[in-house]
Amino acid sequence: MNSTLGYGLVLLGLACAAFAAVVGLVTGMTRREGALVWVQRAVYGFAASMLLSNLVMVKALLEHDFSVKYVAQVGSKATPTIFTIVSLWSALEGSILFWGAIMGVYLFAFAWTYRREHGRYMQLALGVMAAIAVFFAFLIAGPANPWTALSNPPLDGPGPNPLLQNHPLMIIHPPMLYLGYVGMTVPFGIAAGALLRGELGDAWLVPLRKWTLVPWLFLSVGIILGSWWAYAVLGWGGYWAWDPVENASFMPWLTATAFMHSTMVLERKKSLKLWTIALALGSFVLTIIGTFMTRSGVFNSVHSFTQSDIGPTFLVFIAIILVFSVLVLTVRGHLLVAESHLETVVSREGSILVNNLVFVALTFTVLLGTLFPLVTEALQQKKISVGEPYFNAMALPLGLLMLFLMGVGPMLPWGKADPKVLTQQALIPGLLGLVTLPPVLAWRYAVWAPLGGGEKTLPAFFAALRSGDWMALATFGVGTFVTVVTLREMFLPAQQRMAEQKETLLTALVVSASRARRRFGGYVVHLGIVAIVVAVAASSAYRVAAEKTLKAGEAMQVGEYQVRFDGLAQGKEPHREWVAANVTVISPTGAQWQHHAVEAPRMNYYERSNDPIGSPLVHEMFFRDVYVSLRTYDGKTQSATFNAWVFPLVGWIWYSIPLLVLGTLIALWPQRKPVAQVKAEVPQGAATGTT
Amino acid sequence: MTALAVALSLVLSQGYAPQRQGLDPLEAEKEARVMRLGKQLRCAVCQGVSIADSPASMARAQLDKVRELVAEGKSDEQINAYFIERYGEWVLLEPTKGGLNAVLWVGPLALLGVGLLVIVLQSRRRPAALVTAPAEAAPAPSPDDALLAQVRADLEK
Repeated sequence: MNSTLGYGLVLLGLACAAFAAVVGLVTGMTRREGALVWVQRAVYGFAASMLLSNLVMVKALLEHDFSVKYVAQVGSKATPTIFTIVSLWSALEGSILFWGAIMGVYLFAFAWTYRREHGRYMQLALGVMAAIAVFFAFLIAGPANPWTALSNPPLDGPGPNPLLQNHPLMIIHPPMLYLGYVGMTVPFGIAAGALLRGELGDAWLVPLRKWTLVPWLFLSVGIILGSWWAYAVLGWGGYWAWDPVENASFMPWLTATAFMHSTMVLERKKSLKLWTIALALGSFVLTIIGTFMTRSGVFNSVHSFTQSDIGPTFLVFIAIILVFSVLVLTVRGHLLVAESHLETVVSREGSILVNNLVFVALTFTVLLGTLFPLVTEALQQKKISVGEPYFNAMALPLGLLMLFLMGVGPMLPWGKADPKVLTQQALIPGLLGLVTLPPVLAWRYAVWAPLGGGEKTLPAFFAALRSGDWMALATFGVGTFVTVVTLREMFLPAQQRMAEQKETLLTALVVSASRARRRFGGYVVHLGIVAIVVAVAASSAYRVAAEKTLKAGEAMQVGEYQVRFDGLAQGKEPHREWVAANVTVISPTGAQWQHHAVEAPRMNYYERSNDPIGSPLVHEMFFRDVYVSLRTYDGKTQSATFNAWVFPLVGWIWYSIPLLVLGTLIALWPQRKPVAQVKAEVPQGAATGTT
Repeated sequence: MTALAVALSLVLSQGYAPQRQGLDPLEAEKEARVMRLGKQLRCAVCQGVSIADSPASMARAQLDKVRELVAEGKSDEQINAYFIERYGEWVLLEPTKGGLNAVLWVGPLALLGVGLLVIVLQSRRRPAALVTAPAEAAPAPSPDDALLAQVRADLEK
């Protein structure tokens, strides 16, 4: 019953999408605008059928209807309800079905928002999006069909992958990423619509920008939550390993970020049109390549639980969208003419161009490094690895350069910069950046452990500093510089208002921010990014590690903290059993934090997996985490072996999420005042734009 | 579930120590070298993690091998060669720079270089070559320019 209904809805969705694609593209190209209403209806139909099909699947999962193939594959009566619902996206077929629902929501939201606007582009844009929807609906109906009815349903299923049940973050990380991935369909459709139509007016830029910002935010949050999950669950203390699937999500993020910046030049200077459009198209192509990497099983990664044989279908689709993108860019590109020209690199637009170049270079590095093992295997029948050391060596300098540009860009005016004004403006932030270096060096010295039992002397310390240390030091300096510049740019307009209008700080800040929302929101996001970059530098360069086997009652030293082993414990939950090594974390001031039972570092035993799955203890503090991982234990001797780390500032990576969300929301909020007034608000010499 | 309970009680009495007990760390300076080398070697059974980072038993055994070789006084190259001989070049997380692999190292730098060159050349190009030249650089204004400027000013409003 469930399977017939669910599958029927998928077929209905496929039909609606196909209708919308054909009618939208044909009538759009022949400019018969009366057909728009039919395209809209078909899009709504697609959205409704996909959503309903997902609801039927959730119902089947909750009812433990094992006659549905997917439920038999991931369901289990012992799984807690919340994880039963989550198992909708815990394996390949379900996650593609879920993907279809998100696609429906996006297409509906887009079509509905602009149901009475942008008539000249809408048919083409919706047609392109619907064509992509056809592909996914086809995947669900055919190669990745979750609805197959089983004639001999099992009495109980194995339950979802244990790794996915191990942490609540798994409930939100995948949907966030999907919202990011699927959302890139919309800017792709908008950009393709502009190219097919052969024009890109100012009005059409607004949806292009906004509908890139939305998936960009989801992608950012999804990536950060994913790294948080890896950190909190996998137990090796890392949050980013340049895993192919991590790379896959990082690449569209990079191009979408580059897009967000080049679009400012487009609006302001009416140039970089083709380039901006290419970035929008590229972000979508990269999400599809990323999905292919996750789903095809070409790469081995943490994410390989979703492997299957849908690879070939995906390859064909990638080929089609690549050919389509290149074709529309070359055939239609010349219609988007630049109306101005770069005068000097030392200007706002110049810095944005360099920023775009660095983003694209990093994207290219990540793509090259990820795909290169496949290339050598094909060309030389030789298996090689391209791992963390390569990516770090290439990406860290580029990242530092990006950070630097984040400080320089906002200082530079559009057009031409006056060197004198520029020096004046850079002076204080630059000095403050330099001032941070000695304390950071002192801190590094404090956490530095001398080698070979040698003495902790300054010459030995400087001799031991590696390139990574210098890089981290530079990150702190540049990070301070950027923060000061950003805060100044945020508060300067408010300060001006306070002086001229005699307003309070809060009123002045709110008014000036709301008059230039995108600029203000962008700076809030910049602050979040600085927090992430500094946290990454500190937690990788200034970490302290220790490893020891302890008997009950013994303690080990890690950095300035002590970890005491209080003995083993065991427990049982419906879906798993566990053995925990109770520990107490003792601070240098003598404060004791007990972490016993479910809060202790544990080994979890799931019915589905033979090896236990560990969960570490993360004792979170604002400036550092104490991280304890249980490696082995021995019930007879009541002893356990631990890996322990102190990670400075690591939490700032995830604490940045509110800043990213807040900044994006400020930027997205509709601007009520006409743009001309915003320009009047900008104080002279502050080198600020409306963006 | 009962099978699991039996297994668990068995596990609890005996403990979970699938790997052979690791060798004791060497004296600090050598151990730092072990860790540095370990960071560069790929764990054979994990997902792209180095043997220094991986908690897997296989990785611990491989790291012990590194310890053994370091203790014997082997050079970095000899130790890498030992692992390449057994697992192939695949074991190196940082690919070698020779042969086809050079593309990996040179490619991004070349892109960056060419990109910078294009940007600099663009900004040096004579503004006159453009459809719409900036006002101050424009030669004697023609009536068309005035019209264009008017239209642009209207659009700005």
